[in-house]
Amino acid sequence: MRSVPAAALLLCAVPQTAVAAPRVVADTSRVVLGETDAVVLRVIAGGTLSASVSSGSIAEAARRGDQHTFRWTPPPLRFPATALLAFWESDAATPDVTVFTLPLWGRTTLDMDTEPGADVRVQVGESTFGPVKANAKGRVRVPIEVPPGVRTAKVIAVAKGQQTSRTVPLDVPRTTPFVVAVGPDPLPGGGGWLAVLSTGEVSARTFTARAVGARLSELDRDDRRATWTLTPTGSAGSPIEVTIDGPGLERRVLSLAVGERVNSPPAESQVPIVPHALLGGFFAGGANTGFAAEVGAEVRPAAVPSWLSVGLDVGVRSASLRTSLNGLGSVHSSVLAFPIGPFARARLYAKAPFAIDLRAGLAALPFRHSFTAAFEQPWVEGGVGLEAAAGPEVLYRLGPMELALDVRGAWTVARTAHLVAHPGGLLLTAGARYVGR
Amino acid sequence: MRCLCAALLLLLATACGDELPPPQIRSITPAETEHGSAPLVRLEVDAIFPFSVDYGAEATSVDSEVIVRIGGFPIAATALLPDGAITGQVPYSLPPGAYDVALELGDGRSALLPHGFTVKPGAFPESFSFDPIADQRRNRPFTITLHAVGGQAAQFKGVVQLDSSRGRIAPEQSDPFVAGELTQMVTIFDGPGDVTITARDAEGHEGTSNTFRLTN
Repeated sequence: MRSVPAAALLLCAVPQTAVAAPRVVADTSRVVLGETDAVVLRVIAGGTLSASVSSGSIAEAARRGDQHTFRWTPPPLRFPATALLAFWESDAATPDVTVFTLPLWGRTTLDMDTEPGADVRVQVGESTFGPVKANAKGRVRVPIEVPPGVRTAKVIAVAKGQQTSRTVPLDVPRTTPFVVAVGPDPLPGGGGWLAVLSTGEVSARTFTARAVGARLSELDRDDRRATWTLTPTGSAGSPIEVTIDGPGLERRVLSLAVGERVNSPPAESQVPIVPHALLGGFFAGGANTGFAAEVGAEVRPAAVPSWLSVGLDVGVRSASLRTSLNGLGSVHSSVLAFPIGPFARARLYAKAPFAIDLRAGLAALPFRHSFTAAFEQPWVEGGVGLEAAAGPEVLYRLGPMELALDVRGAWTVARTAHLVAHPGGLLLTAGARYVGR
Repeated sequence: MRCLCAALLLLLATACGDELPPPQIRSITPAETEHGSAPLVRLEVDAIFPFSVDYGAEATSVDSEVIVRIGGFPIAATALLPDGAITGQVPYSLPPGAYDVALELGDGRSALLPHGFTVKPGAFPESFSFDPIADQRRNRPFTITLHAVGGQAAQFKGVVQLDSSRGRIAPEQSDPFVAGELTQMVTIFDGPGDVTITARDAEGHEGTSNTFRLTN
């Protein structure tokens, strides 16, 4: 069993400085690298917003009144770290910046030698993983998740009634995240301000800033932030280069120009599309049994929570019925139906590499019915039926794919003046989704 | 996705609505006969018979009942054959002339073949004679022999109506005469007693058998 400390569903960020700074709310408090695709943040601020991040990327997805919606995409890292997200009103004359901190959990597997058959648990911070039983040679592999700031794990092994424990180091690179903000954005010819903000692990008092094309004058410093006035020395459009450095910092060079925006996050132009394909069958009693397949694609609009996505499915179902008529031989009926319609997917459970989603959808059901007998011409008719379906989908992450086992209950009807068929009922299909990364 | 939708639309475009089309009579064989005959005719038709399919009950039903009329007269013993043809017997009493052939399915859909069947004038005798009939057991089949007499007796190949003076005789319509003669198996359903059989052709020429006795 693994225990995870209770986490608040929503994380709120408090402005680090003045009251005019934006307020930020995120839809999750836990980011697991390699598992979390994105984090949606709602930022309350009256005017145009600027944003910058210490890692990953950010895009503004929507704005309604004073509510801005941003989508932050994690960096392609796997080791635990901290991401800092800075938001400020673009025309702020003073460095009123809200910094939002996102802990990024890393995932790894500890390979260890212990007593053969021992039950092994690993304690990482306040979380415990396992137990996992060691094999006959004493080898054991325990998957763990590591929050930022934790550099050791406690391994507890129980064998033959005896418990042993030891502390093992975790190979986590040291990083000092910081984020840079410049305002007003765009920088006016009369100058503005520069702020460098950090977690405080390495004091911001040690940060240095140099500028080419502008003059810097220190405003304020504490352990978490350092601010300067930034006064251009050239005319409009002249390039300015600011270099941030310090002990333990990865040097960062910021290029900007008077009159040009630098911290404006791009509007989200592309919503990732997740395609899927499923094959299987349906069972609804009698001859309502046959082949089922579907392809579809879904998106997760920024305006909806990250656990929810919506999409469109196109499927095919087939069923047939052969019966014998007294003195007239056999007759054959076949139904080919094409459910097409929207669906919604909600992630109910996720523990890598497994996840369980709930899918629900409505579909129009164009269908084709053919009826053939030796004593008459073949007859083909068509119509449009309906389907409403819902059910769980079990997923297993494999690289950029998720293998899917989908079980759905479907109320489905295909009816004409001569036909009553239900090409739905219990739908059992398997396939894959391409989720990328 | 666009290709898939196009294929779907194409597939559906080939499907009809759910209203069944009217039937059509392609041919009737034979298309003519002689007055007084009652040939078995065969209609070749294009028809979708009324049907229903229930996948849940795994049941299919087809209403194969049909009515065929020639000149407004229903033909007897119509039946749908496994190859889709419809057979029936033309009424022997149809006078000479050209007649429309009509087909009606169980759900009321119908077809018409204008002037599809012709009845030509036939050869008739003046009367009929029976070979003597011995006493017979009631409700048991026995054989009678008829002869066309006078007129065009030797060319007569029509059928005659059979009647018994008591009870019911089967069949009521004979097989066709061959060169003016007919040997026919009949059964009379009645109690014991004396009885005669009368034969009458389409133009009213008739003949009556001797009186014979039905016994138990």
